[in-house]
Amino acid sequence: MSYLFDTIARYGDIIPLKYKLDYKKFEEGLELFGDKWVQYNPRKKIPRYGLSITSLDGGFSGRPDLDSLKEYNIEHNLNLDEPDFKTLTPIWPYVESVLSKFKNHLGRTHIIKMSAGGQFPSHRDHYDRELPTCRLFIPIYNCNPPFNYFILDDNLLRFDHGRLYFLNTCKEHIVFTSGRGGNQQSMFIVANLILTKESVDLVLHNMRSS
Amino acid sequence: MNDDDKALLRLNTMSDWIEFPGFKKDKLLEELKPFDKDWKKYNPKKPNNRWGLSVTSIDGGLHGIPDLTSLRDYKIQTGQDIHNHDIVVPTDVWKQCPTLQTILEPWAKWLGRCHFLRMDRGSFFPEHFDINKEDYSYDEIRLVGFVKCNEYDFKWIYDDKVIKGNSGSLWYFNGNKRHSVFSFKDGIILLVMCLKFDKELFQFMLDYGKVK
Repeated sequence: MSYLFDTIARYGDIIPLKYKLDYKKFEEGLELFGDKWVQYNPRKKIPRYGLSITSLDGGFSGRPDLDSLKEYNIEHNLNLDEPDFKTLTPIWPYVESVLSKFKNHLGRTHIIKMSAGGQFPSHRDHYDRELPTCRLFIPIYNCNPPFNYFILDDNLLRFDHGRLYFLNTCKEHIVFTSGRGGNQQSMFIVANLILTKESVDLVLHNMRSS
Repeated sequence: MNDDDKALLRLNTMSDWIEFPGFKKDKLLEELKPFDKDWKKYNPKKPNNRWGLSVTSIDGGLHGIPDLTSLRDYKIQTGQDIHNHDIVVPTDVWKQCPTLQTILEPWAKWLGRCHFLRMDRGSFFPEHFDINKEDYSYDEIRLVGFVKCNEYDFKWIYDDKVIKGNSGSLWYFNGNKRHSVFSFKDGIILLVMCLKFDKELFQFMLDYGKVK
């Protein structure tokens, strides 16, 4: 499966794809499901909140899809992984505009919002030889400096908001929200794409610059 | 334009980051231990998990007022107009840490406000410029000492570039340019030094810098 990942990554670490979010529709969904946000990884008190787009049961509990999978698996003697979270939640129709092509290939997928001080410390997303998934990313609100900083392999990223991206998150990366020192929140979607020949073709055939 | 202005102009045409002889970081951290309880909230009006330990202050005390607050806010509150170059009285931190004395001694003539900054997890300085924006009667420059940090748990973004400061290194940086800093771990420590600028300081920097 690694060769599938490498097949995409040979084209770049940050690849803008053709699809964009329909904000009008998305904001209808935010309004409808505004009470479904839960603390992202409640084991750590960091101002990060998640809203599930996929989960184990199609619900919004965030358990365990917005928890630390590693720690949840240890506690419950399970071996859940990104591809196991396939059931779409009721917010799907409101994000469908940007992800519809990948609907049948999505693993764990969610919206994240972060307040000032919200962060993902330096990390890499995979450590195994075989990679079952890769990350897609959709910046929605305030994802660029001076509100939010996404640094991947020492490069400060600047996104086109609403656009779907492939990101090579095997490389060291951090995300930090300053909210410009105020109350602005950043919001983005993180999607796990299950790597198959078909899903890789979908990425390769829909790069913005082809 | 006088010679001080010309010197600053020349400095600004040089590198934005200029390295000076460094220091023994482990020894310095050891010497700071007796002051563990003297760290004060940095700019407490803006809760942000940032802590300061005064090296200079207005009266030699470690209370942090006003040297670890916003001088601008302090002026609004008290009417007292205090500048970085007014904050010159050595605190016990300066007096009792030999490694710190070694760092400061060459710069003492120009040194004003100076403190250690501890950035715990989640703390940050949002994008800003350090330039003296309003008062044309003086100019200043800044040095930063990377006391305890690493490239993964601490990010300094300078004019859209990621800066890597090794612990134990001391740098001039052109704070006029846009920068922001973020900490992902408790206990990241920097030394911040504000220096009132003149042509003699420029000459000293040329002589003392690692690159001639």
